[in-house]
Amino acid sequence: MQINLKLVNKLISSIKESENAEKLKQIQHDLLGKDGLINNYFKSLKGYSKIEAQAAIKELNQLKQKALVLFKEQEEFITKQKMMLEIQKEYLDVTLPGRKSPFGKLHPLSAVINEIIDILSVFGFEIISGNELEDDWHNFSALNIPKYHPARQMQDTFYIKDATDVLLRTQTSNVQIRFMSQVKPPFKFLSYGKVYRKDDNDSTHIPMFHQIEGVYINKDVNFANMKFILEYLLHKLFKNSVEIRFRPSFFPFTSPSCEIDIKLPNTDKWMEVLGCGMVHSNILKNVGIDTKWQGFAFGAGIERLTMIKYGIKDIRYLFECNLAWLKHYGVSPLNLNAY
Amino acid sequence: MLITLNWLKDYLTTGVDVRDIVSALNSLGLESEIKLDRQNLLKNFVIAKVLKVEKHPTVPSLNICKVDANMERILQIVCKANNVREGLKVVLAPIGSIVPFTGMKIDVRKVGNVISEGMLCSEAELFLAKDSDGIMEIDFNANIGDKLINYYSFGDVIISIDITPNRGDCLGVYGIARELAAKGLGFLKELTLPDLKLQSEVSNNIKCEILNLDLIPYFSLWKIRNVGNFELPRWMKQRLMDVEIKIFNNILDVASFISHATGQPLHIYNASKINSKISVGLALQNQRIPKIIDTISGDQYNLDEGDLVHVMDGEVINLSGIIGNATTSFSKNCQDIILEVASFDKNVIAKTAQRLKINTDAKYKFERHVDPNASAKFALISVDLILKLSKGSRLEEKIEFISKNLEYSNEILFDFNYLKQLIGIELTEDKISSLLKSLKYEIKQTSPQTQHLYKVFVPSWKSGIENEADLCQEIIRLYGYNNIGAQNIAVNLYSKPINYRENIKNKIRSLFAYLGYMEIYSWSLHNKDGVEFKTDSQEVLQIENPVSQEMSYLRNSLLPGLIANAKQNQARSENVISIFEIGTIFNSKDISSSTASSNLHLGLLKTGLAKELSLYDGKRASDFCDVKGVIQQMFDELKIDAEYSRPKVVQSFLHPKKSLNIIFAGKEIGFIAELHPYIQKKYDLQYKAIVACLNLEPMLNCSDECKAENHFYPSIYQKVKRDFAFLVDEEKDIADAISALYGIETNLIKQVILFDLFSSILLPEGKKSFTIQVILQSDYKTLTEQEINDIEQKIINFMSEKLNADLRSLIN
Repeated sequence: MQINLKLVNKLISSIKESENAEKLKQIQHDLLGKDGLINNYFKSLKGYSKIEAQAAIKELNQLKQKALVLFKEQEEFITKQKMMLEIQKEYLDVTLPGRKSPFGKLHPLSAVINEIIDILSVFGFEIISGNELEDDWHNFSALNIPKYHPARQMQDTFYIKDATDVLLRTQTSNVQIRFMSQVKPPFKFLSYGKVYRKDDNDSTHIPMFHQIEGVYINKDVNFANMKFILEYLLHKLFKNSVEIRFRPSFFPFTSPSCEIDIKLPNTDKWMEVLGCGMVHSNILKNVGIDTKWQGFAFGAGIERLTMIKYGIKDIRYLFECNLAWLKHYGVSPLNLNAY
Repeated sequence: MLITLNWLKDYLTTGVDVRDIVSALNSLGLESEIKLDRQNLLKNFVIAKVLKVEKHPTVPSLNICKVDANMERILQIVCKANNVREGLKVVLAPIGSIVPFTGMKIDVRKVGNVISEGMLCSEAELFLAKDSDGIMEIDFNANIGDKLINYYSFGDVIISIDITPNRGDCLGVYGIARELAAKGLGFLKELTLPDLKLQSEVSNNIKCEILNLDLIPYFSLWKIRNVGNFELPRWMKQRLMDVEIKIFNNILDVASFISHATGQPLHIYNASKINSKISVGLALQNQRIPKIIDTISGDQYNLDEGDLVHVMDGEVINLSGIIGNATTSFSKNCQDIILEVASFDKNVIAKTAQRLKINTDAKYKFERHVDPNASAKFALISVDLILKLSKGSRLEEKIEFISKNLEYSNEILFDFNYLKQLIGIELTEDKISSLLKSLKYEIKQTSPQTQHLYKVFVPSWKSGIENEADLCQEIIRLYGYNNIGAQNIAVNLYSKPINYRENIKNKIRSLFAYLGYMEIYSWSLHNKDGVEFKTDSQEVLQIENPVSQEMSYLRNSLLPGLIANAKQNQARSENVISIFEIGTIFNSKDISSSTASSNLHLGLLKTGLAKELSLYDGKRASDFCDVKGVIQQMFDELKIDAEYSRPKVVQSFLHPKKSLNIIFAGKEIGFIAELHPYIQKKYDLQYKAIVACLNLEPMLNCSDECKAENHFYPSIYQKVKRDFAFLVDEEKDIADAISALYGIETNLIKQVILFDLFSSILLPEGKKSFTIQVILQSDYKTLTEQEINDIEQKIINFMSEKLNADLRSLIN
């Protein structure tokens, strides 16, 4: 049998030239339909020998496949062209604002507390929660601040009415006493929270503020180790942008005692940010820990650190809850543990 | 405490720059900074003479002066001061100098159309006095054209030092000089002690007995006659002003000067009032005395048994070391005085003064330690100075009691190896000894066999050096804290603890922030109004000694803080106010229980618009379900099961019909509610405010482990969705019944969503319509039509039974 290739190819090439769906359908009918050209060739193969027929079938199938691919392509082309014409009529002002769900912010104090905890966590400090109402023993006497010691004058205390021996803690160190009375060394822990002092209300003082403190007790943890950990903390917290100075000081609960000052970039003023020292042997005695153990304690005012870190000028802003201020100084929840 | 550089140099031979002195003081533990550097500020100011004064032609208050400052020519200066006059020597701020008080640079300028080539300064403008009247008058011998700072203490540098309570030894300029000498910044000058002779034949007029020698290591009285009225030397006056000591009267000012220089407090009696024997001792031992004293400050105090007092003629004349009484203490125009120089036990002084709440300079020094071994020396120096300043005065009598063994305040057995153990630095024994010796500690080896072990004697001026650790502080303080190398510490990477409470708190914080809420920190202390938000029967706690009525109660709810802040932000024209706080609240339970516990709560408030004004969200006001939604989301995300129920009794500050209790582990832990309209009105809130308060403690204390992991395999079979619309009575709570639908075919009902709810006049009266979509799916097979129909019927029956609801439509 002789296939009229010229005729077939003419039909195949007309697929690509058809401009609309109707024309395409007509060609499809002529070429591949029941009585189409290719089908008719198949029908005419009946009388031929097996070998001859096989060769022809192969050729016809190839042509059929080629045609099918082209039909599909052309069909998509026509549909797309039709769509293109339609959507050209549409319009959108793409400069309009997107639909957003603005986040709130975490308070900068929360962010700084978290950051400190996170920085120190590599050393294995666990967090101990504490109580803000306290008695004289845990807030003062057990911390080696006897009743008439001048050191008490540094912390003017609020007392609770109609209650015997109840005060608002003036420092977070009460937690030291409560924790160490119950747990055997070695240990290391952090505790933070609100403390209260009957103080003036001005740009650097308020009667309520936050402290964080840590204690590390072991057989041989020493002053030089304390320096390492606290330098690490401050360098991390302030991104290595500050100079650090250790200065001898006095706290009834530590000896030797130390204060850490930082010097802010582009100033020559030192600012005290942290108190620390080797835990006084009287404290260890008061909580029943053998003095073969030793270690250090430190404490810092969180507001002070926060103000330096974020460049906040007046401490009262932190508690004013001005939403516009919080939008600026608050920390995105995305950044809670990523600094 | 304030000192001046010149004053320091009275006792310290040094050529070191003041900045290095300040830095050394800091390294020694005396936190200090330069308060005022007149050496630098006044370096350009010169002495000048007014030659001629003429009135300004048009401005009567101005004078035009011709001034000689030994420059190329005579200057013309316009001056406003009343005291400017011809022949007066004055201080000139020349062209180019900066006036310290105003910070203004002096230029040639026109004043009232007249050229002025400088400025004549007042003492206040030069930081030489707090305030002054007119320009400074140079009434001493000074050359025209000389620099002002070359005279007296005009070019002094004032240093402020923060003295910690353990450093009584540094409450005098001398003590500070001693510290700097130890650090190697100069040499401490030897005190020259005068040889004082009594100039009188009469003696034994003063009689005195000391009843408690153990509490009074040194005591002396010095009678000086004819002190008279003398002028305080200019330099002394300047120094007192520079260190901000108030000037009263010549003899009291001299006493202040000595006390500030040496750290030794002095008391001065009116000698004419001392005519009997003075007994000094504990009030206990003078049973006969009246237990009361009228002090020189005009106050009356009741005395106690443990107080140290001076008694004369059955009357308390002095609260030893704290304050004298009105009758016998020095007063103006008093000619003959008795000077008391003594040392008292610091604990007794502290106890008395703090009980009576008396603050005097003497008390401040005594309770922080006054060197008893130096008192005798300082007494001589004091008397000598008074005799020199007051011409014609004479020392007539003295009486002195000295305990033995005043040289050392303590003795400590010190193992030199302990320094390495505690501090982590290795210093040779020689180095340790030399550091201690610089601070005048004495060191003795205990025995040749026990190496490293020494007896260390603490100098008499030191207090609070009680153990080996204190000695370590002394050593490293001199060695330099900043010279101690930081030592890394071994870290166990597996030891990073899991802080469950912190994690939950942070999850809650982050979640609300993601949902658009702002975290706030508010005051724990508030006024009486805040008390009305209590939710339990516990008593509210009140502050005994509040700073103000606004801060006199401890909060027993986070609501007062949230509401007050909502109000303030509303006043700042914020459209959306969505805030939350995590904080402690207080009540009487906290003080009745013996164990301390924390009482952490979460409070949340939303008012104003539901969302910030935008193109898409309209101006919908916040409502109850906004807040309920975020609370539910919190529990969902934390995977904590919470339930909600309409309260039987609603708190008076909440809307009685729009309140919901939160139940956790069978216990009520908080509520979600709209604020009662009267609260909204009371706090001037424009919009309804919806609040949620809950106790976080039960959630913080249940750890992660109690939650079992549930496995989940998604079904591969076809989901079927059906929408049911029902009619139900308008005042019927429907959501619980809808949630309960899950229970009727646990394995097949995968989801029930309420997505439409409305009332309309098109509906029968008193009815509302709600529509739910139910999603059915089996984990094991494709559901047949029959099975689906069965469930549909069950759902319809269930809603009819629970809510008396009628099906309006069912849509595939």
